[in-house]
Order: sequence, then C-alpha cells, then structure tokens
Amino acid sequence: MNAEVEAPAAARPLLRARPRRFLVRDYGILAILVALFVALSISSSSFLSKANLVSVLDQSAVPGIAACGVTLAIVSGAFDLSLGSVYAVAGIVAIKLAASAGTPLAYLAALAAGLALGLVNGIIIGGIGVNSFIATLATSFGITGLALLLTDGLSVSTSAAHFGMLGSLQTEAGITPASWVFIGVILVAATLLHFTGYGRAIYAIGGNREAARLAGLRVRLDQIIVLGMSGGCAAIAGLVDASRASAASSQSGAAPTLALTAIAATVIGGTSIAGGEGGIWRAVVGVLILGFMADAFTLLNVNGNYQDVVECALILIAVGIDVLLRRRA
Amino acid sequence: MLSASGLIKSYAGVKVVNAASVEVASGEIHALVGENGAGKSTMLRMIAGLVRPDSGTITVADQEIGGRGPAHSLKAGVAMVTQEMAAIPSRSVIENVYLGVRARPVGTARANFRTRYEKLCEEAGIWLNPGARVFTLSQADRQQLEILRALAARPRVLLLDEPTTAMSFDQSARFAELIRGLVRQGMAVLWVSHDLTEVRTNAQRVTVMRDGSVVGCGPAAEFTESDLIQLMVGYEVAAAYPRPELVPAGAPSALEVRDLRCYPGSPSLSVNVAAGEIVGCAGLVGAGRSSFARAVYGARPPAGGQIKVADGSWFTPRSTRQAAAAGIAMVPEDRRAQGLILNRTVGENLLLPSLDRITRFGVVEQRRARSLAGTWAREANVRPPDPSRRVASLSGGNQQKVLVKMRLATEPKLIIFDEPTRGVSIDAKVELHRVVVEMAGRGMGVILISSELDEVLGLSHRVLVFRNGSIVRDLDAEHATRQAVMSAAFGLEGETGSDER
Repeated sequence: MNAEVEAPAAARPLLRARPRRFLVRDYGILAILVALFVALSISSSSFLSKANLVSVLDQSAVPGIAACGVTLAIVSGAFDLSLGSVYAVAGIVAIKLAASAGTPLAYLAALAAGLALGLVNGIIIGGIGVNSFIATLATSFGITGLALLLTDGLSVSTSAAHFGMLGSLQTEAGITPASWVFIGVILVAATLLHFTGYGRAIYAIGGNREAARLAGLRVRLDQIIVLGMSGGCAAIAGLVDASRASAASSQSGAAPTLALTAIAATVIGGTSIAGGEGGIWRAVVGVLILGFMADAFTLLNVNGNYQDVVECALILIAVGIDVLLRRRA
Repeated sequence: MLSASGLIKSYAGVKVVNAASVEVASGEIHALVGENGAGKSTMLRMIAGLVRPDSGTITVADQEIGGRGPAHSLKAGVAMVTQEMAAIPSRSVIENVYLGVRARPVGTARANFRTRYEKLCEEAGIWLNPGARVFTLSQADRQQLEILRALAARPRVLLLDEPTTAMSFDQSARFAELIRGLVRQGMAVLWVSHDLTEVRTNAQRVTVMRDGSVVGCGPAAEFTESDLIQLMVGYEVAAAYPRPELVPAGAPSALEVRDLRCYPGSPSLSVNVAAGEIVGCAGLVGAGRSSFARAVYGARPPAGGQIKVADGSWFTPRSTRQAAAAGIAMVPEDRRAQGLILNRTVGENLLLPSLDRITRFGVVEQRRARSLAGTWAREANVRPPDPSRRVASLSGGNQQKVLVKMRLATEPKLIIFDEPTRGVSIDAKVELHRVVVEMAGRGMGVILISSELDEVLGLSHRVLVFRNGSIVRDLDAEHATRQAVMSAAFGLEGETGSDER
C-alpha cells in the first residue's frame, strides 16, 4: 500500500516545484525588465519614441561595457574595483597620443593600457593570491594616481581628426556608435563566456577554484587573463567617454562611480557574487533596468534624488532573492 | 533514558523519517545504522532539537523535550557530536568548548573556565591545548574538540553522528574506548555509524533504518555484518570485493617514482606501479599517503624527486596541469571541497578535464559536448542520468560517480583514488569497487588510498604501508593481511614475525 499510494504523491510536488523555481530564479529578472518597459510605455507618451530609446541605449553603453567586463571577473570569483581608474587612464592615454600618433593608434594604445593594467590586477590576484577586493581597491588608488601624474591633475583635451567618432550623437541613422561598441562587446564577451572552453573554465574556477585546479585546469593563468579582459572593457568604456568629450581627466565622466555601477548592474541582473554563476545577458538586463529607471525619473518628472534610493532597493531585492533561492535549493 | 517514538518528518512532501522509534537505556551504546538517506541523521537532529518533528514524542528520563529547540534539549541533557565540524576556526579551543556558556564577571571568568576545562579533559581522557587556535588543529583533534564541546554540557544522552569517518583505525579505537568509559558512568549513547565492524564491537543494541522507517532492532551480537547489510539495503548484496585480474608478468610500468620528497627534509619515496596493477596505500591518518598522492599529481609540488608516466620522460611535477598532461588523474579525498563544481551541471563537470576534446579553436562544439556528457553520465550509471542537473542535487554516491567518471574520461595512464568511497551508500560503493577493478583490467595503473583497510586489502595487488612519511612495508596480496598491515602502520614490526632482528 505504501509503495503504490505514497510514492506518486511524494514524487509529484518535487517534479512540479523544480522547474517553476528554476524559472523564477533564472528568468525572473527578465520579467521585471519587460514589466518596467510596459509600465513606462503606458505612463509616458514619449517613452516609446525612437529618440528616447536610442538615447537610453546610448547612456547605457559605458556602464554596460564595464558591466560585461566585470561579469567575467565576478563569474571567475574575483571582484574588480579598479574599473573606474582604468577607464580614466585609458581616456587620458588616448587623448595625449591622439595629436602625435593619430586617432587609430591612440585608441589601440588606450586599449593596450587597459589590458596591461588588468593583467597587473590579474597577477596580484590570480598569481600571488591576494583577495581581489583588497587588491583592486589598492590598485585603483595607484591607477588613479597614474592618471593624475599623466595629466598633472588637470583635464587634457584634443582636437585630433576623427577622435570624436565614438561620441557622435547622430541618431537619424539609427543607434549611436557608442551603442554599436556596446553591442560588439556584448557579443565578444558572451561568445567567450558561453561558447568556449575558456568560458567553461571560468565558471569552474569561480564555482570551486580548488576543484578546478585538481581537474588539471590552469587556474592562475585563466584568472590573470580574465582580469586583463575586465581591464580591457574598462578601457573601451573610457575611450567611448573620452571620444564623446574629446577631453579626459582622472575624475572625469564616470570614473568615480563606474566600478560600483557596473557591479550593481551585474548583481541586479542575477549574476551571483559568490562566483561560478551568471551570464553576460544578465549584465545587459541589469544595465537596461538601471537605464530605464533613470529615464523614468526624467520622463515622469520625479525628483532625481530618489534615484539612488530605488537603486538601493533594486540591489537588495536582487541579492535577497538570490540568497533565498539558494537557501531553499 | 532516551525514548523517541513515532517520529515523523517530511521535507517537500517526502517523508524522510516515517514513524520511527528508538529507545536507549542508561549505560548503553545503541547503534543506528542505515544507508545514506535512510533518515538516521534526521532522527538525531530531531532528538537534539535542531529539527522540529512533524509528530511523535521524545522523552529523556520520562520528561517530554520534543521540538523546543537545541537549547532546551541541551538543558534536558541531550548533546550531539555532529559530522560537520561546527567550531569557530579563529578562536581558541577553550573558547569553543564553552561557546554559548555565559561568562562570569571579568577576572574570575578565565580561571574559572580553565579549571572546569581541565576537569573536563581529565574525565574525558582527552587533552587539547586550551589556548590553541582551532584552525591549527588536525582533523582528528578537531573531532576530539567536538566531543569536548558536547561533554562540557554534562549530558545524560550523547548523540554521535558518524564521529569516526575522518579517523584512522587507531584513532577510532581510542575514541570507542572513550565512549565505552562514558557509558560505564551511566551515559546513554546513540551512535550513527557506517562502519559495521565498529557497530558490532561497541554497541549493545542496534537499530536499522531504511527509507525513514525502522526495519530491525535487537542486540548487536545477534546480527552478522551481512544481516545488517541485507536489512539496510533491503536485498542481498554481494559483500565480497571483486577480484582484480592478475597483473601479467612483464607488464610495462604505468608510473615510476624516484626519490620523491613531499616536503623539504621529508623521507624520499620510490615506487613503481605496473600497468594494470592496483597498489593500495595503507597507514594511519597523517602517515603521508595523501601528501604522496598530492606530490605525484603536482597538487602540492614536491620538494624534490622525479616521476615518469608509462614511457614518457622523467619530470618533477610542478602543477596539476603538467601531471594531467603526462597522463595522471587524481580523485581527491573531499569530493565537495576538492572534486566537484557543485553549482554547475553534471555535464559541465564531466567535461571539465576534457575541454580539449570538445573544443575546436577554443570554441565548444555544443552537439559533441552534449552527446559526450550524455554518454558518460549513462556509462557512470549516474542516477538520474541527466547531464543538465546540478551536481549539488545528486546524492553523495552519485556525486562520487560523476567525480570518478570525469577523471576516467581523460583516459589517464595512472589514476590515484584518495578515499574513493568515503560517505557513499553501499550499492554505490560496490559499483565504485567494480570500476576500480575494471580500470586496472584495461591496463591503467591504480593507486588506491583508503582508511577502510578491508577496501585496500580486498582490491589491491600490492599494499604499501606508510608510517611517518615513509613507506615502511611493501606487501604483495598474499602477505597483506590485516595483522601485517596494522603492525607495520603502528611500527610494531616484531609482531609480524619478521626476521629482521
């Protein structure tokens, strides 16, 4: 009697509960983005205009590019708090070289500088084994110092030909160049994380570093590279803003807040700060939610000072849900 | 003394414990046995007040204590030694022992606790330096700390949840002696164990659980080990170890180790393992078996010495990647901390050491990855055989199957098993034994490390006995008896009748 009557009754709730919980966990954040989109479409007539949407995407490009980079680092189990300082150095390097070397070489030099600084972070974290939070907190001071030294603490600017090409706000032709760069970074980062052997190694290292090492993976090298890429993304973000302004300084643009905004977007999207879980699409969703939220404040004429409070709530809710689902799973 | 009756506990609609009862008299060691997932730990946790039962009564000395939280159970005289070490690593031994006991006013507190601690140690026959930080203690000492913590509450009922899993045989013998002493003073002990020999030597009575229910109870002397296994599993299991095929004479070597020194100044080790040979490593905990394995695999690069795999060239292992590339694989002793990426899927874990096989120019060929993962999950008999499930959701035995398969799938020439069957159910164990023997049959060299001496003796062609970092004996299957191995491990060479003196 027991076997026949009880077994199915016991098995059913298990079977039903599992997919539902995973759906909420995995795609709940997407539903929130869609709900936000729908709510804004209804409450503001100008929200759905092409100009507005193009502008939201343009505004999301810089934090989005940084969020893609930091997602790679966080999935591998490392924080990168130095994004903002690398962003500043990259912009400064590009501007200082633009007049003498020309725009393309200046861009490349900025990117190289970002990669190199990221690799230094990587060597400190992956190679030596310093806690990533502390290591990048320390290097962010050092890199900001480097930016100050390069500029004598002033703002530098350039009028080199084509330097402003990433900063164009021409919208008749569709989305802005910055948005194209953002999409390019998304595609590269997503391919790397989700479709390569290297990406699988990154997940494994973030999930259980020791197990990954004992499985024969090159955990040190892989983590050094991941931080290099995170630095590279910060440099691209810095280039975009330098190009927009044709000027840069150690504290210009997003420099002071970039790392925290990028990590916030990553976490809101549902990438676990514990490492080993998450995805590039989550960073994109997180950045878009923050972008729509900022847009809403403008469109609906709400006091912009509440924006930080809403961001705070979003982050706590996202992390809270992650913790609760983890506890039940 | 302790009586628990009709306990029921369900999680998510599944009855983990179903109307189970157990009674323990004062002055009795009562063993509770069963497969993993049979509900033993849940029983203990309910009695200790850590889990609230859905229904049923728990009484200590005829006083109802059920379901009112751990503090209440402790006050009623029930203390538990858990499987997980719950001490706070960065604090001292004495602070951990009296954790939760409120301190007296400043000044008197320290001396007061110190006196109590010394008295406690004397009674328990355990001595740990009270000022030592917990993270500096060995695994075995930590286990003793857990016992001190439980005894500090002066319990009348002591609950033990697999306390000897991490102990070597001499340590578990000493532990059993300690428990027998406590019982002579009138304590009631409920002891969950996987080790049936231990159960039969120490317990007066035994209760067997299967699928949440009690399926047998009686004096321990009336059950043989195979009786117990049959009750636990519900059907008869071939208790015997599968016999490995003989190693053909002149088999090529799978591994040669020359003058390997695990740490600077440690003894140098030289070992040969032939292709198709299973070499067992026996010894006490801390005798250097795992250090040897980790040095060979480059997990803790050795201070000196060289190794050679099959007909490769001599090298000093500097990293796991180098050793893996040379054809060595290792199944580490702690599958959760060292073996598996628990929050990733079965498929991702299986493919992790074989990424080269599923990528072209670094890009994963998804179809090939899926089909390989599916095939390997089926071959390893992982239940359910679904590669998209998270490893964390599998039972211990199935996790171990995933871990073993992920290492075997790289087709190594030499594989090192460190405690391959710790904490897995009996049928998973039988299956893992079969796999070990089968791999040797296919010409793989095997190094087998296990704290279960029977496992080492039952499966190995040759047994190396470790003591204080050296290999003190190299016994072939014929001479590798329990007696010979234990004597060598304890350094009692005289008793084996060896004619060295």
